[in-house]
Amino acid sequence: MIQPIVRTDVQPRSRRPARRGRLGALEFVVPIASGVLLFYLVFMLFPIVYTFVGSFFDWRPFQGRFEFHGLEHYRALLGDPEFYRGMRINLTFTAGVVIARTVVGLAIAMAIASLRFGAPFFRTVYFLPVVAPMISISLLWTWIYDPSYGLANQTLGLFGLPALRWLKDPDLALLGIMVMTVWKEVGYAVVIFLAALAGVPRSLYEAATIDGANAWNRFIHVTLPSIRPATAFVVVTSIITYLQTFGQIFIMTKGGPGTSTTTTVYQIYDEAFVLFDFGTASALSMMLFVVISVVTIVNFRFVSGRAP
Amino acid sequence: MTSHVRTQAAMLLVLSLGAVVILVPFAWMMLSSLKPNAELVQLPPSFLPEQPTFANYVRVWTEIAFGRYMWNSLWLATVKTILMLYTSALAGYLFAVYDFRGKRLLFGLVLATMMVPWPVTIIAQYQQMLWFGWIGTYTALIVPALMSSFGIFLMRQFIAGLPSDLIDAARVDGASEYGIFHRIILPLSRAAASALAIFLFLWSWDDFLWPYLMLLDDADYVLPIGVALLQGRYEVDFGAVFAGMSLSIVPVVVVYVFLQRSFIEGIAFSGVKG
Amino acid sequence: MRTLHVHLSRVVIALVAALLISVGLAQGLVYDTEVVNDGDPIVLEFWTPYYQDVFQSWIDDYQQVHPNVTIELEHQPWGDYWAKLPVALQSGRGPDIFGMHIAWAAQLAPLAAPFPFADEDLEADFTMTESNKDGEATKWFNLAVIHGGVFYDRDAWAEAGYGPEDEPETLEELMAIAHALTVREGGRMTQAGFCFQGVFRDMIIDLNYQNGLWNFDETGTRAVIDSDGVRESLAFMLNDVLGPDGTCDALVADDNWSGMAQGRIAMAYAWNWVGGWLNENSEVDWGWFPMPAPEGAPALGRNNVENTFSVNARSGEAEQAVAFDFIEFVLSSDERVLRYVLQAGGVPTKRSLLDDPSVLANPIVARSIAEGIADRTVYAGAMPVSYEAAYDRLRDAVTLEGTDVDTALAQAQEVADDRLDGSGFVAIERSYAGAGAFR
Repeated sequence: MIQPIVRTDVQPRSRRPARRGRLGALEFVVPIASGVLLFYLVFMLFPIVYTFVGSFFDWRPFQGRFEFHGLEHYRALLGDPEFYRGMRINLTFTAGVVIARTVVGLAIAMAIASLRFGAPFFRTVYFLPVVAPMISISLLWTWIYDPSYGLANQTLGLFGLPALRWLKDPDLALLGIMVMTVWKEVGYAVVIFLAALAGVPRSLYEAATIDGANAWNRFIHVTLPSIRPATAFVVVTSIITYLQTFGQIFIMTKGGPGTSTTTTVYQIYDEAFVLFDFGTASALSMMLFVVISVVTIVNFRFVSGRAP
Repeated sequence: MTSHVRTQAAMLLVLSLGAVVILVPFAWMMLSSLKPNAELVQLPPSFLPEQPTFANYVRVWTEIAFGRYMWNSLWLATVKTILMLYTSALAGYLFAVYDFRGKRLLFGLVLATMMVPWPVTIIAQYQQMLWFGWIGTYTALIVPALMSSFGIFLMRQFIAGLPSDLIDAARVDGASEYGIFHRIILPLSRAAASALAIFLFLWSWDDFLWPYLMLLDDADYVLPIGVALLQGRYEVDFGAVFAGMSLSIVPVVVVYVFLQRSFIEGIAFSGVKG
Repeated sequence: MRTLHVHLSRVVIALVAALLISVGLAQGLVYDTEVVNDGDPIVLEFWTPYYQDVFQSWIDDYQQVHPNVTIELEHQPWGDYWAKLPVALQSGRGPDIFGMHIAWAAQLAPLAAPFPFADEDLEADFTMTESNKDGEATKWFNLAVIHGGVFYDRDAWAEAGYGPEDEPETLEELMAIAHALTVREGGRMTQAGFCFQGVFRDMIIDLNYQNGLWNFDETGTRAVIDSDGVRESLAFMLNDVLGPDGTCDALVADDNWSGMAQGRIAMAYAWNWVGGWLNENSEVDWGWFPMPAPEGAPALGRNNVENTFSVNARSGEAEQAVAFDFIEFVLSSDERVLRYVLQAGGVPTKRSLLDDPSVLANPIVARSIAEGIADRTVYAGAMPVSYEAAYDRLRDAVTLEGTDVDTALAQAQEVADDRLDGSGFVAIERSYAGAGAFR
């Protein structure tokens, strides 16, 4: 998913306190603020609270059931190896894709930044998969990974390598989806890093060179610190996004083979919209929420070096 | 000098290889969509079509109403984008310029919901749609998406950065708050609005799960649903699958190629922190 | 005295008359509706994930008789259908008639309307009517009974020197033939002798029944997975069939039917419908025999029913009335039910079709009827689709992940308990006629 960066350090230069008057500010503020409040109460706050409450109920909408169940769902989840497995797969997927996207994205950005000409061309090309719809790309890659007719095995064949079962192989399926996700989304990181790299003053590099730093040192001591906010942004938004990955798994493997690609998010979908057991699904999403919050806060602190 | 040229050459080579990796899947998809089914299942597979044909596209367009799905997607994305742009600008203006009791709380609420993962809200929203009786309608797709926290945040930042003299001058002239908003703020926000519009449009265009759950009638389906069902309906008609995929990707790509500067600049909108 | 005699004979006459009348009343379904919905135009929506050609033919017939009725049939892809249906039915925007499958029967029963036909009439015409019920109400209709068996590739048999007289009668004989048919080249299995790919769960359930073991506990609400019986069956499946010297391996095919179609599997345990599938999708000359059971086995395995459709409980009264009339129109006609039975490839539940020549043209069905095979299979009930996950978990654990059998069984048992709990499902396996011989 594409998310732009926005400056947060801008302060408004003048503020208008709400005042009474014939066509005064109050007649603007009250309806608009109420509208915003109403919308968020109904479509955001209420669902969040209801899901939380529902996680304590045996809630099956099509059987008309909504009976108090206490902590049963949570107890069952915490004692279920499937739950931990799902979390593990979720986290593995996220970690892998985030690291790959950041590292590869930065590498490509630096390569492009060093070019004398052709940079816009490469920037356009690498960003191309980002705008393509995820569902379509997922289906395309399902075909690329097809063991008999797919491009992947054809390519392996070109190099004399044996064909792989890809999405049908429990050891490879998750990796296959990860590779496809990085392929699709690395361009976004490239663009962000390019913009960040462009903002690093040349004087810093020159000073470092004078001090005897080689390319690697310059990278570690000048580049990395200077683009830290961009890195933080890429890492944190990637984590939040990929912890909630669903579309690719739905199209490419539906959680299989076996349960090798069943992430917690997919489990939520399965419980909610295949089995229509909203209680269990709600409990699962609450646990996911907690995990996402913790992971995000920890990473934010770690990568940006300051409190969120 | 030569070592510099060598590094440049090396960079170009590596980047070009990467570009090939990026572009080949698209090429393969389009080439495959032009092959008849008999050619698609032959082993060893061909790369370039030996008997190019548009028959796959015809089948997909007529038998699966892909055209209709594209139209539905276009219509829905446009409506949602316009609505979200307007509400974002309105709310953004509110938060940027006015002080009122509870403002911090309300803005906090708006921002906080951005942090909540979608699985948490989707279950109860589904139940809400059952209660409201909106299942199977576009209302279920549009109304819960009337406002965008992200959009409000973006517009607030932007509007806050606008010179306040214009606003003050207009007030002195006796303009109403709504008048100020419509006649001064909106026109000035075009830059931010267009960047925001691109994101909002793409998000709506890509949206799969919610429309999939809400829409019941085949005629109402949007493009991602059509693509997702391609595999299910056409287990053995590979050509149709490739044609469908191409139809869903190529238009977006074409638009992107022509507007890519706006896309990319929108991403790095307002610069990077630091 | 005379008065009593007269009274007695009156009583006798009355009783005989009542008997005759009741027999006459339970005459089965007879369709004689001339005008439906008062002749006013009405439109019904009918959704189905399968059998759409058969259903359309029924609709065409019905619309000819009642031109004021229009039934619009919409075919949905399988997965999509089961995701959308509950919502659609609940929302009031759903179809008036919807295709049903027994695995979803328990889940969808609250949303289906009870059929207004008398039990006696239904029982007069059809067998297994108890499988159409949600509690006391009939809410869907099963027209064919299917079960498992072994398909074999006649050409592969002939090559190995076997003929139809060599049909195995015990598991040992089956495995002997299977070993002879297993071909390995350069370390890879190019022809599998006997496989159960894609029907792991059914294999386990069937082996249990053959060994006289129930698949559910006495209350019928808890599945029995973590048990010695299942352990034994797994041992056979994992060692004898999938083991290093076995007759099958995971790579040979994803499922039995495509494996047979591609000539990679010589014998496969599968359900009846595969016969029709092989006819349509391959050139394989296949033969069939029932799964060999141990001496004195109380049952040959499980059966399942092919379900037709249900009526939306939330549809309008007029729509429901027409829907039920349509159903009566179909069920009362031998010829129409026959179309469905032939497509399903199963034993018809409509009694009058049991000796129909086109039904008997299907070798599996003919044999099943002749040897009473279907009667020696157990109907377990409308097993909900959600608990299949327990067997999937078991299969994945032991075949893909290399988990030890005990842990895998315990895990699968937990999944089954979790899924069945609250589903409202009660197994009716113990009402099987041969239940006495079970352990």
